[in-house]
Amino acid sequence: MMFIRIFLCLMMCLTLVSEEAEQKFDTSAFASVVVQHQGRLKPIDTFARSSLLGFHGKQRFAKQQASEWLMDVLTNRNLAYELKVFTIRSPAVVQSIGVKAEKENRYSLAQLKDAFMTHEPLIRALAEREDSELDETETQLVQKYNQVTFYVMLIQSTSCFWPDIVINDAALAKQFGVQPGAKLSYFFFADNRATLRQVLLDSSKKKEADQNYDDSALRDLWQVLDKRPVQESGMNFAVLPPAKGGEQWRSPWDILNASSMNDADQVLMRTLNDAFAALHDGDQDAFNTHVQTYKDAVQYRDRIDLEVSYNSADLFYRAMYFYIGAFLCILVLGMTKQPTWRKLALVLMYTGAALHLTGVGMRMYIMTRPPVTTLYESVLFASLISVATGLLVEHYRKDATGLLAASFIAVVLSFIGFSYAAEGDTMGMLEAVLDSDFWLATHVLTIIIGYGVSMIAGLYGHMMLVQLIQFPEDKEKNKEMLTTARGIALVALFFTTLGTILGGIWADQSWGRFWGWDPKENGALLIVLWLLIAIHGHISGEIKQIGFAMFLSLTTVCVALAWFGVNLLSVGLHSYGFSDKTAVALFLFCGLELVIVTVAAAWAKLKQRELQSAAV
Amino acid sequence: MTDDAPVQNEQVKKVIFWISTPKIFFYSLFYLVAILVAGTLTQSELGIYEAQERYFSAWVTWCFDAVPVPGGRTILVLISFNLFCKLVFKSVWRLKSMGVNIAHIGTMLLMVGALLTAYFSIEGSMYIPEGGSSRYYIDNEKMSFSIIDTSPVEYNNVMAFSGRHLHIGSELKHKNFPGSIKILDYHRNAALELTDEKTTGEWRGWAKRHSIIPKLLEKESGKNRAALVVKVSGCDESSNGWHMVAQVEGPTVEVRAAGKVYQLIIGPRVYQLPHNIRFELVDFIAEYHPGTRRPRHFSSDIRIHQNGTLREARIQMNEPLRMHGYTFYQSSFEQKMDGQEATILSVVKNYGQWFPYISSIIICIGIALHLLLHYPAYLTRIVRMWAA
Repeated sequence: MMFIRIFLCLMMCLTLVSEEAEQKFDTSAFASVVVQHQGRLKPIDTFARSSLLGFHGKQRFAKQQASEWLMDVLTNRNLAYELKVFTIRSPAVVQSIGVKAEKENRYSLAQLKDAFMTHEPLIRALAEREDSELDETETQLVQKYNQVTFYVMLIQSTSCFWPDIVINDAALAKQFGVQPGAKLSYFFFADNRATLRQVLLDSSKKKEADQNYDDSALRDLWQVLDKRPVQESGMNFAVLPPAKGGEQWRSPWDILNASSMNDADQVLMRTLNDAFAALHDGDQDAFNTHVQTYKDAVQYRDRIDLEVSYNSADLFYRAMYFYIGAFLCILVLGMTKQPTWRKLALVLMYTGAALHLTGVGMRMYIMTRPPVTTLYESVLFASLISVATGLLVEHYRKDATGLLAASFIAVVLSFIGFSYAAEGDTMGMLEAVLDSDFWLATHVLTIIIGYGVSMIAGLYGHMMLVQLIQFPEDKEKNKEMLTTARGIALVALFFTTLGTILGGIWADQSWGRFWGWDPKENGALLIVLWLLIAIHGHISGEIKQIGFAMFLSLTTVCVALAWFGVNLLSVGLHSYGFSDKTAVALFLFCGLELVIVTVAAAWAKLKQRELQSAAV
Repeated sequence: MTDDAPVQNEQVKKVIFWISTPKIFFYSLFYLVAILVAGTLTQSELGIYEAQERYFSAWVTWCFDAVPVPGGRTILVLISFNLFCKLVFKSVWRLKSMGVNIAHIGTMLLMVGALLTAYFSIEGSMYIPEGGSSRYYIDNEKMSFSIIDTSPVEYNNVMAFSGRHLHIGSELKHKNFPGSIKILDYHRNAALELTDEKTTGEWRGWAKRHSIIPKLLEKESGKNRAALVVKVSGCDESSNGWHMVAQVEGPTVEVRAAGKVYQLIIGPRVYQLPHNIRFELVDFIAEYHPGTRRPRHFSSDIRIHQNGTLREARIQMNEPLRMHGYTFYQSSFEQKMDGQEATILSVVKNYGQWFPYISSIIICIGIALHLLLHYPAYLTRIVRMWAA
């Protein structure tokens, strides 16, 4: 019971940490409005988070939720220009566009826009080149330019609803049926285009009759209205459902720039206009009512609310905290030898796994596809498999080795996964060839399970080496660990072999050949061969226990190369994103692993010899 | 003789015992991993096909371009032989080792399938514009040199030489061609450069003012442009001499002999579809995720003409068309600025196609059985845990 209480306290703390202490304007209704972006229907919350991640590198801006930040950007141009939303860490990029470097590497649109405009021809020329021809600075320069352009268009995307047009002329205001000094949006005039036409006609007639007729108020108004669609219709902020029979959602400017507006569109546009007016007036209730009316009128809620809940729950982060807790408990167990710590670690691991599984399940339900379609997803799923394997080993052995392996791998893989989340929307649409639920659910799922189990096998190899160094005389435990390690290796071999062969069959179905020596295929084969070497080497007596532990440990290197390394080659039919930073991290990991494992194996061998000498 | 027989049998047994030892398997796998890593690393430079030819499908691989070492195919054959000997002469057929034996049988089958595929499969691609048709497919990986007799009015007489003839010093002769052709220079990928008129040598035609500039191989074989210099002899005096033949670039080279005109062509190997089949592309459909240029689905509506009969079929992603032992896959497409679309289909004939399917099932059954037989206590505990 005590542990359950501790947990509940922990969970409450975690929940409280993530809660926003103060909210100026409740954006929750706005966050779940549907938008089509990058081919997918998603809540504005996801759109805001992925956009902010791109610009800022975080899913929150200062203390604001992403949707609050987006609301500011969509409604307040001056503020949007001043927000230091762009993160540029490379001094070379800052220098090349001639902007004064900021201490925190944060820049506003006001600082960057002119600088990028000046260098636009150069950047456009760079953008024409192949990616492989660009160096790191040039790549970032093009990226930042695209982000600035996107941000500018984002600011303009709802400008038709901004109540920033003022009619001070009493006669003119009367003609439109409003009070002098009333703040009106562009949409107001588009919606009252018949009145506007009549006013223009009347004015023209009066001007013909009387040359001295003063129409300056109307001329000023017309100038504003005439320019705006040309200036500000760039952004495809697609929040309005498609026209009948279509799939492409439309932005407010798409509707206004079309030749005519049907009744349904008019209703939706009026509701949005009212919502923006309420926002401008700071009327929370009216805003919520209009947004709700809008959402009801759009009639598309399929899994949208669940996605908003998924975003705000941050289940994978929370799971990671529990894994870290479990790992720390095992360390304390190692120091104190108190079995209570193992139990606590076990509970923490199970809680983390439950959150992790819920997160994976929610993603599957939202996307209606297996949870292994991107590197981000595959890492998180492999992490879950590692946790499950570690817990099974723990049930078998009850000596905390399974917990140690599972918690360590889960934490490491979680961090790797989060780095991929920074690339934007993690639920992106699939390429045509990958869009096969059957093969995703068979080949990709199996191979990722293989990766997960192989990672545990690798870590178990490390633990065997530590055991052999620390307790070379404990023959019984060493033998038990060897038996377990062989079991894990066989399970890993089963899944990697099955996954690799299923991949071959998919390739045969899709591309016409079972095996094409594609780098990704070679990577999978590398793990299979490596596990076969370890198992057969041990069977043939070519490698003993230390050798087997060493080979098993290096499985992690094979998995890293197969999973991430082959993408470095930029060839083949399996294409994924890759950056130089990942390459450096990968080489560093492989190098360190080689050194650590070799030194550990040599040390274990030395200990074994010492023991043998002592026995003699 | 009879006295020697037991000794010989003993020696044979020793050899078989040695060949079937897991040590060979262990060290061969090690070597295979080295070949796999080396070959994969060079793929970024050479492209997938060339790396495959040099490392994985090669009997001999050149280490650092200097030392010949066994290639991937040699090692795979060695592993297969080792496995075969182990299975036949050394395996213990009892329940405990049944899983391992079954997995080994599956692996053997996989190797047999790989062998059939390596030697008997044909791969190529078909390009069909919308509204157009084709009865041919080309293999961009393999080159051929053709001498085409254009003198018959209703047809051309084609004399084709496969890629294995395309090397410096090779002499090409055919009973229907009165002359002979010797290859003086050959490059799988090259560009042509305009030069001053050459004053030395027996250059003919446009070769007088051009040079071949060798280039590194492209990663995609289809982007390579082969070029060669041939010495023609035994033809008319005006045609005898050195000619330059290039893929895509330059005018068609023609030589005259015995009153006939022969064209010299270098290009990818071309195959004709079997049974007089002709594919007509009725419609190509490319769908994108809304608001993006990311393809969601593409398919080709094909009309299949065969000896006066006609039927329709759709080939789309992950759903190929299979007929007469051939499989046609939706591989790629082309969209021109004027809106004209074309489909690119992969064409494969693979006699070993079913081996991976069968062998994979057998291998997985084998490993699963081995796990079940060797870790029953563990599995029982897991089952009990879940049941509880």
